[in-house]
Amino acid sequence: MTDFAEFGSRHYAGRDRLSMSSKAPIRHVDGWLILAVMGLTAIGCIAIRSASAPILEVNDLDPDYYLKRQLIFFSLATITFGLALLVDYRHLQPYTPFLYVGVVFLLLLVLTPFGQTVKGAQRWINLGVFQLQPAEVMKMGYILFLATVLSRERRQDVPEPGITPVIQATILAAVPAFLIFLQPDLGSALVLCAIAFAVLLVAGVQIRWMVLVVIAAFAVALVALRLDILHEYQVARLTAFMDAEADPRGPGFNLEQSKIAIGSGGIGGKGWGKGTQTNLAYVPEQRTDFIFTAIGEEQGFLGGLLILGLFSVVLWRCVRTAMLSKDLFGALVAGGVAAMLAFQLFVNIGMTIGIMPITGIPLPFVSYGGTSLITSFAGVGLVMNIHMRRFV
Amino acid sequence: MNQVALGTTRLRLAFLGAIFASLIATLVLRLYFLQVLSTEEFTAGAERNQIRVVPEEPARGQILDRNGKVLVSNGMSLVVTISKQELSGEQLEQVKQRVADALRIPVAEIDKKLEDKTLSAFTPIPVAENVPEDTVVYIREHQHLFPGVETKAQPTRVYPNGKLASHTLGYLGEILPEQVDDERYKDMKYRPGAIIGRGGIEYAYEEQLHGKEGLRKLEVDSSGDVRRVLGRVEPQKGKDLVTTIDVDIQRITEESLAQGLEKARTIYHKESGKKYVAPAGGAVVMDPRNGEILAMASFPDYDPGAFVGGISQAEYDVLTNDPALPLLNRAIQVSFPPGSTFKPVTAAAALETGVAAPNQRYACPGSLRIADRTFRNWKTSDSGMLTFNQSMADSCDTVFYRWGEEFYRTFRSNRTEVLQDYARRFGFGSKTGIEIPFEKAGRVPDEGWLKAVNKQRPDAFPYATWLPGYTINMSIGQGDVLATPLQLANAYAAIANGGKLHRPHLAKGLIDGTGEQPIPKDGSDSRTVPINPATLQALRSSLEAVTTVGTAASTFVNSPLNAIGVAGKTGTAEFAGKQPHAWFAAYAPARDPQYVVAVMLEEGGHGGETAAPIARRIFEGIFDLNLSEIQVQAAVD
Repeated sequence: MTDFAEFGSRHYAGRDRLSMSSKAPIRHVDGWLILAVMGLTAIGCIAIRSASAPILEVNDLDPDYYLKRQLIFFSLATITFGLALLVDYRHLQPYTPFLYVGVVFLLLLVLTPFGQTVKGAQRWINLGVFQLQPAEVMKMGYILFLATVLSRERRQDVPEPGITPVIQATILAAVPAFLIFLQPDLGSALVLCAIAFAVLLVAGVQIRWMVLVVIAAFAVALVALRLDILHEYQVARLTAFMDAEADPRGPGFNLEQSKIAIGSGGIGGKGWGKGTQTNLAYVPEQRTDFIFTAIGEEQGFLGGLLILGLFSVVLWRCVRTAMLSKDLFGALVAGGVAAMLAFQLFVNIGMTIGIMPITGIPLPFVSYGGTSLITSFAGVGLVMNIHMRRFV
Repeated sequence: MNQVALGTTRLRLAFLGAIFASLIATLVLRLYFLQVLSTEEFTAGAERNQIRVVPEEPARGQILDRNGKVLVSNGMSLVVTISKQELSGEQLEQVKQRVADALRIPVAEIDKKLEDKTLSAFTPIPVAENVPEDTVVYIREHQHLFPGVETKAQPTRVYPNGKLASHTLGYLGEILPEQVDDERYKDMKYRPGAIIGRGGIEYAYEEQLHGKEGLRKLEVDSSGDVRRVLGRVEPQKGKDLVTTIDVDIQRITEESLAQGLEKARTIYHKESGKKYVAPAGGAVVMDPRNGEILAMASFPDYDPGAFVGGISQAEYDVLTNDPALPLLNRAIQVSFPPGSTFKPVTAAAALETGVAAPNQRYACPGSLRIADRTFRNWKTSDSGMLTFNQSMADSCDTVFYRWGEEFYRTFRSNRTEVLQDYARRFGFGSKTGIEIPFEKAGRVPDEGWLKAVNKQRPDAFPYATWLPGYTINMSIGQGDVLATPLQLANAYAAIANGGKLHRPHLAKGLIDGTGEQPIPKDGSDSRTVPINPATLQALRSSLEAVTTVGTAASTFVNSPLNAIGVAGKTGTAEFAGKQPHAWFAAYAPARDPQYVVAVMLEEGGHGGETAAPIARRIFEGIFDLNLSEIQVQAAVD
């Protein structure tokens, strides 16, 4: 048990630990969680600089352009994180339907001419200085609203015998998932499924219903795959996710280059700024979805282990917070956030090393991108909110 | 605080945590496989990506004549290349069409070059060479219409003398894909598409002329753009080759040969009922003292410049399908019966074996009957008794038939093939060993050869037994004996120089950065002909008689060359179904031989009639005399 109290005590030995109420939220700030996400974000910033500077320099642009923007996003994310701590998370419950409905509206807006299209995918709303990606916000919106619905008039630890929560979760996921799928952004749609699975699991849905959920998911995937084989345009649409269209060297090229980047990093990596795959732009979308290739090439296996280690800390703190949560809502939110991060982590790194299909999912905290960074910080902010208020 | 029944939620969360742990473990394992176990493979992949090695052709060495005059030098040719890998399929189609339009060639021609599997898909592929400058300027000015298209200057061969000595110099062409690993080229490590010598001196001295390919190591990004030059190895220029050719003598030799052939075509040939065809001929000028070739001519010739930058198949077909075979070097690649020019060999054998003696007289009847066959002299009338020198000067066949008959007798009694033996001593029947390729060995027929060809082709050679007629015919250079003009020149050089058979050669020295180095000699460069000096002296004296009182006298008596002294022998080779081939072999000055000239005209008449006048003009040129118009003479052997 390493709460911030104990963590801090090593440095401030002799201070009066009882001067504040031991139940006060501020006493239960999760230092591990903060350290881990800050570490991930910091590594992300260095990797973004490393992956984007060479091509910017070649074009006589500011090599720090993307780094500076990510640092601005980071400050916005920090503010969001702070805001997420302020109010007791339980007071958020009445507002979660509005958040959910609001984001669904934004998702609809994306599909209208207000949405911005980049490389064949319509995912963004231009806010002038900032391009909002509603699908990212939807992840949090879904977690919060689903947790509210499933925890209403229920206490934790009471097994949920019916299938009602499964139906509720499915409907709530289906609407935004469909809209996101239309963008198309299969990856983000799948994140909602992963969240649904985790939240239902934590909510105490009976094992048989959980098994049913998994089987149903596989069936849907199979049918989708079948349809794709039958209709070529759908296959094309699905493979258009990344930028297969802009890639004359065949669809395997991205993955091959990604693997070469990571594999050639070896154990210790080539050093920041010294990766040839990274510097010579062999890996597409490197500062965003393929940011892990820059770390893999330049920091090697050890760098990869550090990233995975930091994520392990984040997930551990989230799951632990869910366990410690005083109420079911908190457990569901923390579990949902953990599932959101874990799924994105696995699919993102998995695609760079060839064990997952290539879908446009960013690596939380690390990939370049404002909405993703802010959403991820909002998520861990809420988890810490739950952690801090587990005694009140 | 009700945390009593937390059990299920905790358990479920623990299960969720276990899922996360297994996902992370999967990633770690996979990363371990990629980054620790397979790192070598991927490192190689990264390097392949990053580094392009672009070869740089070295400038080829020049070919110079013996006085340093340029025979072949280098120039620049403008080349248009297309980089396939930089273009998408649709783009490539557009670009190909535009390039084809700009160059005014069909797209199919570009396709053919682009589909050449021997060229790396990553290097720009040349689709056109010798492109006019305005086309290059057009492409450069409209570069946006030509993505992936580059223009560059590429070293090529320049022939300041046009077709001069084309057969000797040879030509260049791309190395054939299957040749890259040949024994001959293995050490040079040519890449497919390298330009190499494909004939003549260019082929023979390929290793010295070629130079060493340089390279540039480039770092390229994923779009193929060069980011940095990582290193450069300068190409090493090939060495310049100083040949034994004298460009002036070469020119005179070629002119004289062409002019002589032209004159021959005006002569009516009674036996065939038409004028001489005289489609082709060869001539050699060499220094009998050392075997240096001063001139080597073959008619008809070709333009080696046509091969620069790759000859088109159509052009090549024209050259190879021409019945006159312009690519053939008549001086070394064709062999014909040498006719009476062979007689010094017969005479040497007769003198050495005691069949004849220089001071004897010999009957020269119009014909001779040996073993139930009649052998005729080229003159029908009886010439009476002739001295040894007169027999040579008049080229009296019947005298030589007698000697041939003697050789046959020797053969029948003790299987010794005297005439063949002496022919070989003079170098007949085997290649002279000149550096340039595709030399013919000629033929010295003997019983062993006859048995072999009888077995192989009984239709053409029905008898396996060596008949007396074979030796008798051979004694006047007829029948199955075959020689190239170069072999004949070399044999006469041995007579002229007192019995040294040199290996004829075309290279004198190589010039590199440090100056000229002579081509090293070894023991195989010359050998002594095992013949008595007195015999050679007798031959020389008889050959002088040929040009003063004999079959070539009409050509030489009224010439200023008389003062210098020319010794030689005419020859007329009969060949079934063809007009006779004319031969003349000679050296001068007769008493201090410095030049040997051998001339051969295919279906060009008699030696004294057409070949000797050509040799005369060549000698006039060599000795800086006024060049006379070639005058055909009476039809003498």
